[in-house]
Amino acid sequence: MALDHLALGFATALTPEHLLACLAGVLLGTLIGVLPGLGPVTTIALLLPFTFSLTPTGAIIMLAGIYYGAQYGGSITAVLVNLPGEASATVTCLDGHAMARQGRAGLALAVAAIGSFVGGTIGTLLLAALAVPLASSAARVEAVDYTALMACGLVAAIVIAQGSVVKAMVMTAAGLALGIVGMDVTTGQPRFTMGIPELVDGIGFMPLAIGLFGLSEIIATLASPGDRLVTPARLDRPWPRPGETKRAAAATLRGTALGSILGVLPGAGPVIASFASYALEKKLTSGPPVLGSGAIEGVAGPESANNASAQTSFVPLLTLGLPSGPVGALLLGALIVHGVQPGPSVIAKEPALFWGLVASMWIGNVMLLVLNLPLVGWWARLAQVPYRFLYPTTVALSCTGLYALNHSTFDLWLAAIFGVVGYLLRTRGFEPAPLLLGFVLSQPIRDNFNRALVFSNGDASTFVTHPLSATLLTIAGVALLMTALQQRGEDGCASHRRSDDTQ
Amino acid sequence: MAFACSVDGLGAASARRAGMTTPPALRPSLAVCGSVMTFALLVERAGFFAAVMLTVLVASLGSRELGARQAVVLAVAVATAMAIVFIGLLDQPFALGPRF
Repeated sequence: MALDHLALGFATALTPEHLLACLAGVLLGTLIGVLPGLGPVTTIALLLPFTFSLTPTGAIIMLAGIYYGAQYGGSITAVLVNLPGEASATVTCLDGHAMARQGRAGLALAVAAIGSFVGGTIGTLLLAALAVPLASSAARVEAVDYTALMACGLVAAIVIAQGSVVKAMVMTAAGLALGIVGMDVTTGQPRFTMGIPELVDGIGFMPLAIGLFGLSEIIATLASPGDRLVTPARLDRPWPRPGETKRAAAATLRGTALGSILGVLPGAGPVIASFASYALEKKLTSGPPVLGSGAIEGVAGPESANNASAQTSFVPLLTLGLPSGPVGALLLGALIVHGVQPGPSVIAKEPALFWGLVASMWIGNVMLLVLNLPLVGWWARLAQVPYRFLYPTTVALSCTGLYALNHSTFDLWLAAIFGVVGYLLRTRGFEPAPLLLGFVLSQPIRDNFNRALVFSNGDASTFVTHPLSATLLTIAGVALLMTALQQRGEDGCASHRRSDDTQ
Repeated sequence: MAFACSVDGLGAASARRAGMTTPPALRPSLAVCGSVMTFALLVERAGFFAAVMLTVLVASLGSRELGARQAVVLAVAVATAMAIVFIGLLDQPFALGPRF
């Protein structure tokens, strides 16, 4: 049955028109995604008008190509200049950029490309085999379970944060709080808008992400001349050291498995997948090098997880009409513009579109690998551009990308403010990543929390009486407690060593 | 506001305890923040080309390593390239010059 579906999919995707759409999407996505400050959201938004002349199948194939092309492009900038194209590439910055600073950018990019390909391929195969049964089971997961799942995602952000657990929790809470700004959809009341009309729609994801990550990183790099981006005179060949291939392969498979599962659940998607994969690698990897200082697992795991979940996230998007993030929302909008109403009947009503997309994703992943492995050296050469030339260009590109999204100068002011706030937070030892995840999940966690309470007539015990929700919350609680205890132990050892040194 | 103060207090206290008291750098903060504000102020008044040029020039003040002549050359090159890509190729509805 699945083979028949795949045969139909390949027959659709291998027509010259659809092959060209896929190639154009992958190329354009990587090209624009590689420019710092322009992630998949901006890229898709910029290129959306170009797909209106295509058929619905051609358009969604091209947009999907742009999506994973730009996602890979975003990883390239994460590795080379420490600027995540979007939230899911945030964790790639930690080890990928550390590897680039050690002059191993070529290897980090090759691992990201292969990890993305393996994650994408297995994700696509799983999507083909399980689309129909998974769609029906995903429909049975209730709001109370989604709330618990998102709580798990937030705990994952706290667990992976470098430094203090308390600070990471504060940043997560700040992200949740920033996500509250805007009009309450149930009461119509503006919340924390301070009388500013532009804030009625809430704070945008892009100004927050570009400010907190892009601009604050540039300020921090300029502020510490000794710690300036390393521009290696000679890049290594992209071959791993002995033992690294095995470690990268294991991390890729773990990331793929985790990403494929998380991608299917609506609301989870690539962001949670990459964060969760990094948390998993942090628990399993003993080093050296430790995670955060250039470990190959820190690139292979999250990269394969976010690509696998990017593929499987099309299940809730196409069958339930539930996007897993801002990119999903854009694709959903594009489908509706093209006259396709996503919902449970889309597999039955539009088999060529659904299976054509599935097959084209695999073809697109092959194209990405074929295009990007030989181009690794070329991308890595970008790291050799002197920083004094790169950063003004990055600022101008970030401004243009941000302005192109909504033509809103208010977003630019917000980004400028978040840039300085992000830099000040860094000087105080606060990581911006948990804030961003808290912000992204703020709206869905509130919606599902409210829905769960409405279904249970306001009884909060529903979160512990539902088996899946209770399990997820227990896992989250135990993970948080263990991290706090582990850190307390490490702090105790460190202070003990300091007092020994002074004696 | 209260939240911001408590975050700052928590950060400052733990930074002192860890012996890290780096004062924030003013020059890069002003240059980067100022360049974004320059773009916001100019893009709808002076047009895309001038906005990008001045954004690059203001941003370049954040580093002492970029001379005035290099900054001007970079600004013109970036503005030209971005005008070609965004207005020429991507067909973005930005006004290239000032609107009268």
